[in-house]
Amino acid sequence: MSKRGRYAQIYLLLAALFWSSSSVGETLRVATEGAYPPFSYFDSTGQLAGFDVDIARALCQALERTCDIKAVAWTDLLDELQAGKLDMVVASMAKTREREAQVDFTDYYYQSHSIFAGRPEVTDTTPTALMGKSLATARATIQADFLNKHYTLSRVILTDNMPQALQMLLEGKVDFVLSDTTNLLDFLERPQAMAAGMDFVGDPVKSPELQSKAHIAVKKGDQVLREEINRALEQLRLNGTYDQINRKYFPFSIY
Amino acid sequence: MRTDKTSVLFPGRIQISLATTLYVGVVLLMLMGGLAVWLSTPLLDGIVKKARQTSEEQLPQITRWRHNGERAELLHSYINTVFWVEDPLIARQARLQAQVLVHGLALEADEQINRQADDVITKLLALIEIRQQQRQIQQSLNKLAESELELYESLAPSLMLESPFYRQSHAISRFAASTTDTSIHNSDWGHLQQEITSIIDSLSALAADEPLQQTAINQYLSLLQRQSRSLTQMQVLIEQTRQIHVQALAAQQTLSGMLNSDAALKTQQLAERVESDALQVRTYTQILLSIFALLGTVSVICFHVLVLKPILHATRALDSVGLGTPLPPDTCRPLFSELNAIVQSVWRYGEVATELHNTNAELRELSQIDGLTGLKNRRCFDTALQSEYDRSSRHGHSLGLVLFDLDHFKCINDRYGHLLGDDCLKAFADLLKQFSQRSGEMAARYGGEEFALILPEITFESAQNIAEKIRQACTELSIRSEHDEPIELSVSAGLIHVNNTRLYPPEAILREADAALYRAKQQGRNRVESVSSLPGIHLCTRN
Repeated sequence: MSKRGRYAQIYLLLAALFWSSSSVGETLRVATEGAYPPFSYFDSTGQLAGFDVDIARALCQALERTCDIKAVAWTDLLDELQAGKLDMVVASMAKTREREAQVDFTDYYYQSHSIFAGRPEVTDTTPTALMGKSLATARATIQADFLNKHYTLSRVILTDNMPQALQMLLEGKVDFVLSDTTNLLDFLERPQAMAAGMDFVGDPVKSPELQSKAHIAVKKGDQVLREEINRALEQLRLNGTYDQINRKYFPFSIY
Repeated sequence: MRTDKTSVLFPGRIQISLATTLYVGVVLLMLMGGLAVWLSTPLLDGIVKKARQTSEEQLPQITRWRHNGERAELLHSYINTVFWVEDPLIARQARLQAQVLVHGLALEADEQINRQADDVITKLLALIEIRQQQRQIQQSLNKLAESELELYESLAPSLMLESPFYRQSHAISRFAASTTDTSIHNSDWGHLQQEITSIIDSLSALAADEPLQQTAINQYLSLLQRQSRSLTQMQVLIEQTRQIHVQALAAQQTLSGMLNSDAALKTQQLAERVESDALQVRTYTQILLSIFALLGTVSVICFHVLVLKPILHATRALDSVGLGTPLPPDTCRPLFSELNAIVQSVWRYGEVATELHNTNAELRELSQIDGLTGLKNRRCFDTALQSEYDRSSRHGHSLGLVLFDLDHFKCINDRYGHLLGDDCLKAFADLLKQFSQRSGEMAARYGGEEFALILPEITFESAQNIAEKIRQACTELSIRSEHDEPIELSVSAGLIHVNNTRLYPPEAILREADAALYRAKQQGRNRVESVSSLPGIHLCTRN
């Protein structure tokens, strides 16, 4: 009897070891920005919502993992991921060389391009045309890098997140905001923006630095999760889940 | 020498080494495997490549194609929305979305598609622009109508009812009311134009008749002429928007056509090629499997005929060697040199063994026979007596034993020489041979001139009879010396007959026979002394 009991204990121990060694079943810690409508924002009930959030949820379902999705400030996302406090970041993040040095990226999950928004007084948005104007965008973004690099003759104002920059535009504190078209579309469709006569300004900025694709970030070296997410992404795209989420937020495919 | 002999026996037959054959077989198998791999690897690689191409290139292409199709359709509906909807907010929303959509197209498409998309957006923006102008015209029409109505309100009290000017200004106020709430699409702009033209005409005609109202008429005319210009402009713009709408839709159609892709066809072609490759691999596999099956069958048959049969043949030969039976004929000549060597060794061994067997038999024969007389010798007699005794004991038979001693043999030897003595021994031996023909009966030279005769399964009387016949025959032997002297030869015999041998040991039987012989000698020779069942030696019986 005691012998059998010991065997049972050993089996239980082995099972426990196997369980803990396999990653299946562990809760994935997922982060998004929470301040980038319509990709991630807090809805009227205070819940996280948006394209990124829905994609993250669908991914977790495809991966058969439970997920804890929370909003983390844009500038803290990569630090927390590197520190091991997060497992993956679904925050419309573009792949840049600097970021790739810190984290690993999956395949892209949507494409975007940038454009200026403001009062359509001008149609030319080259650096010389915008000389002396004040331009705003969110900090630590590809748009911020782009403005700092090329629009040295303009006043570049960096905010903590995109809604802040757009708020400044509404209040007339800045002349133009550079952001993602889909993000700006969400802004321009609001009554305040319409009342203030806001619109796209000029053509989309045709610079390779801004024609970006959004990727999911995982911790540097976490190839297993990266591959799993890639497979899950493909699954979502092929089984129609992606299109369903896409249609919920945008009238056309953004893949 | 023997090898040469076998080679001579089977000349002209090819000899192959079994090891070489096996090596060749293995090499052939490997070659066939290599051939299979060589044939199927490129095909399988192709299948893998095409499958990958399908999933990595064609599938995304198809997805993109589908998305682009949706985009094109959406663009179509945006153009229609902008054209048909008069609410500026909805039109703006459609325009904004159309802009983002077209910008998105520019991300992946080539320059041509890009230009076409720009063209669509330009037309859309032009449409929006004209709609803006039309709205302004509508607003100005509203303002003019208001002014006319105000003028009418101020004039009305001072006018005489049913006067022509009153009627005219009333008609103007009705017309003004009808232009306050116009719709770009629903209002009959042509009719309004006609109406205003006729009003202006009749008002101008009235001017001459009503000099008192000249100021009011001029005010009306000014307002009406501005209205008329706006109406004309509106009609021009409507015609323009119609044209732009048609152009925008045409541009969208062109764009839609550009976004089409032949990915589905390519995928289908890939699938067909994969299928044909797979079928080819299947055919190769079937052919190879058939060849393997055929070769396997042939190998089994060859193994049976060329390997197993010679081995079995050799084994049977070995068996027959063991049994001492003659070797089967050496007709089997294996194809393989190793087996041939084995078979030849077996045969050589068989021949040697047979020779040994024969030599042994000769030697045994020689060791049992007395050289002079040809009878069995003493050693053989001892063995035979023991075995006959054992047999009698086992079956409860009787046993007779007679010992003979030639009388005065020493004298014959001394007198006529040993050669004649030998002749006498031979003659008596031949005599004994004649009386020992039954199976089990055995005559032997017991020593010097002494002989022994074993008579198993015999009655005492028969034994006595035989002994007596031998004694009698001995006296009748005609032996002559060198000088032709007849030699009288006689023999004394001691016979013992035992009914139940179990009661006596063989030594006792021999001893009693010897004693009987002694008594015969004592009692004058040339006689037979018999003893039966040995009554005096009961104490010596064995268990």
